Amino acid sequence: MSQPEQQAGAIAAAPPQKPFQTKLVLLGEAAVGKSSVVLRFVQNDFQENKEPTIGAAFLTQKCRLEDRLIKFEIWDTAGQERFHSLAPMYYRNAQASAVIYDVTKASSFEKAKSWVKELQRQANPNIVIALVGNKIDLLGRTESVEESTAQGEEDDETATATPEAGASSSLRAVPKDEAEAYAKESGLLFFETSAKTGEGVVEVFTEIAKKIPIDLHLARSAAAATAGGGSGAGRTGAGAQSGGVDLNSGGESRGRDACSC
Amino acid sequence: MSLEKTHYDVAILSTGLTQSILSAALSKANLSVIHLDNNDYYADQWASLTLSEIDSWARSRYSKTGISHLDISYPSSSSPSPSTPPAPSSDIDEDHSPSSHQQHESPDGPPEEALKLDRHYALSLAPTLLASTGPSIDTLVKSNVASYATFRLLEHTAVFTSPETIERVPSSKEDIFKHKGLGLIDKRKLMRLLAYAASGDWEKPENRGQLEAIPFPRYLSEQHKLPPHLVRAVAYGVSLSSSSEESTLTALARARDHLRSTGRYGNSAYLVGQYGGAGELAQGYCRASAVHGGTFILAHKVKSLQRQGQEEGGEGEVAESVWSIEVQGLEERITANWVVASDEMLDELDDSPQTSRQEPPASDVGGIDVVRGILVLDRPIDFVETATEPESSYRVEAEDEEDGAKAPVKPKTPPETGLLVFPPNSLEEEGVDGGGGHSETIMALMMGEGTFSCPKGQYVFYLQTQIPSQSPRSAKEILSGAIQAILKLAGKSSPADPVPERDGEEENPTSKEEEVIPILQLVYRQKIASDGHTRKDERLFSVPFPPMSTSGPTSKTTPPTLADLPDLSTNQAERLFWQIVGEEQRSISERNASRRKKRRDPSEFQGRGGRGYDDGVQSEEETEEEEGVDFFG
Repeated sequence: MSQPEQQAGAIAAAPPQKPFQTKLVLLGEAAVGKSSVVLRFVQNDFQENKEPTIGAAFLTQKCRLEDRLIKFEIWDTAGQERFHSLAPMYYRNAQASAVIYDVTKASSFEKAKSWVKELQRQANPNIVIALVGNKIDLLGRTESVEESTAQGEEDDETATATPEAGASSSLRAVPKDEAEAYAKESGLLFFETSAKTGEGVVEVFTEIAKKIPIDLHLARSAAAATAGGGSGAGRTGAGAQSGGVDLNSGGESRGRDACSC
Repeated sequence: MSLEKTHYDVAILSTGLTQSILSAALSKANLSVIHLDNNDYYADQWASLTLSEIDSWARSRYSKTGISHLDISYPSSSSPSPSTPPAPSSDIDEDHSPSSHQQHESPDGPPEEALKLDRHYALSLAPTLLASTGPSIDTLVKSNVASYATFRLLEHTAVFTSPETIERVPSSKEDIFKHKGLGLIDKRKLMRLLAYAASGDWEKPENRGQLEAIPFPRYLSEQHKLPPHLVRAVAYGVSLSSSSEESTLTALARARDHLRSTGRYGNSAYLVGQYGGAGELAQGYCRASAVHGGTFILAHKVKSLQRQGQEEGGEGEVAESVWSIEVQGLEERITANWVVASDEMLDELDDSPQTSRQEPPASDVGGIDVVRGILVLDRPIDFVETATEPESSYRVEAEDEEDGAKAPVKPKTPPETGLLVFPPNSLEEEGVDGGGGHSETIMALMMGEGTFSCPKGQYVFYLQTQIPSQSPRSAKEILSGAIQAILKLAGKSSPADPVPERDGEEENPTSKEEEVIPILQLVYRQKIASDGHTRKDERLFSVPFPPMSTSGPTSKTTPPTLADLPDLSTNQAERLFWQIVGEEQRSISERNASRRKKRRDPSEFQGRGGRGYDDGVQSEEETEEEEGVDFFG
């Protein structure tokens, strides 16, 4: 994980520049900390005992990368991953995805692999995928460097989102090198993070931002705009550019030309 | 897999559009919702499917009740002879044995090349036009589901007049003003008619009776003295009348809605949803429901639904029975106070609730079937080039010389969306092959690549009309005239896939008419259930598909037009919502006191409150949302 030069995170006063809008979808087993990672990124906040995600359609966060401003539109699964009931709409036009697992829970890593497969099947072929091992704060302090502990079908005890007060040092169940090797061979970005301490979280998003072929997407949506039909870059952006209609924009003009008489 | 909890306020079976809107509204109103579907895709009878999915959908439907005369073929990939094998238009409903199904149809699946692009198809089982004003769009905006989906304007509307011509429909004030082909007198007549439609004077009691009785086309020619081509344009292109007998009252209401809608998002009254439309909206509503706590389980068969005495008679709660639902693959049974299902999912239960199938299919006598067709072609109907304006009497061939007349203004992009209306009996007159005429209106909605309905260079045509249920005519027979006409009209435009080597001698694509062979052709008849949603039991509703309007003149059932469907579905959902919420209200306000408050990110959900029925608890967190921003208008 190289430290990024760019400072990502909230940008208070950005020059008037149209940000490049990017849809990023979160995936991963229930309770691996999907929402927590995002919350850390978006609000630099962490909630212990966070309840399963409710109430947010998507969160947005801008991120500056060299001379570019990127606006992430981050979609949470809203629990629809539980029974494999994510709609195709969820993957639609996603340019990036963060597949998250819990480093203390082997089954969540297996699940992550299956989500990667699902993405490769359902999503844009050139989607940027980041594999993220979360909850490294749960590992004992000694361990956090590098340690391939025993292969981990062993315990599923820490399966809840909530780190219990007493159990603050759990065993690593997914060796870092194993996950990293898998990521490498599948062409994924790889990170380990702690949403709780914030370690590694910003890097996930900056590295994703760096890897998104922005110019390609821009060229495409420009082409789409002139051709009157798009090949689906940037949902909201391209939607409007390629002859799409934004329903929310019609409200005010109502009445002006709405009725012929 | 196991659930976090097993009791819910409402269990919804089927993710059809109505059920999905209801689901979102109920979740938003803090009721606990579990939403189930047998299918592994969203939206059930409203779904948008890929090519392979629609193929297996079609094959599984041979034995389904409600669907008949289904015929699917892939003419472009089957034998070199372009004519499709004379399909035995046997009544598929009659034999249910699975073994015989294969015999009906070409066993061939979709062509290889098309399957490579399988995921680029979003073929809708319920094609719709979304009126720019009305309950559907309001609910989409208020619920914020509009931000999940993308839309395009309906670019063109034209009325079929003969195998060679289609006439563009002037549908707004702007269109009429700009219309070169219309004489001044006709313009004035049209304006007067539109003004009258918009005025609402026709709604006054003293006018209603008379207008109710008179068919719209007759009204237009007698009262407004419109010439025949304008009668056609107004009755079928603007009011989208489904038959020549449609009452003036109904048609004027549609014309008014049309006028109100035009201009809100552009010079068209309608939007088309991308990625198949209704199916995408259902997914959006389901997501909205999930975001507010709804639990979703797809691809698990609901096996049984039974009444069960309440086991845990919680404190203070009236001990009442609940619905108990058995789902394949779930260890626990789910219980719910209310069940909202679809007719089809109730039919497929291993056991059916005693109350459910009580009504005999007596309604069959006056029943109506919707006749649907889906065509996928490799080229569009070029509405711009092909259509003439009313009154300009020259035919398409005549345009050869005057290349420069209209062409230069328009950028040379093929149309993405268009509605072609075949007025009643318009196909017989010119003796279209096979005498495939039809005495009712046939609508054909074209959607191109830009609607993300199909791969680049292809176009989907959705055909829809209706027929009395007793009629023996097959779907193929009914639609054949319209299909032939579409193929012929499409033959006038060049393949959309840019063929770099266009022989330069022929300067006009019109002159090189080619035979167009569909990539996919699917037709079927679909029985319309009785009207409204059906209350099967005290706390069990079944939502019929397609939704029917419950208001309006009841003398004749007219099936919903493409443009009615979303609004009817929204109204259906709203009625169910109030029935359930109304009755739950009291017990909920008690329960809510102890229920944890919903977590909500105000930055995301500002101003999109659910209907805040007064229960003290909610009002404190929803005060900012109170200003008339209910889920349902």
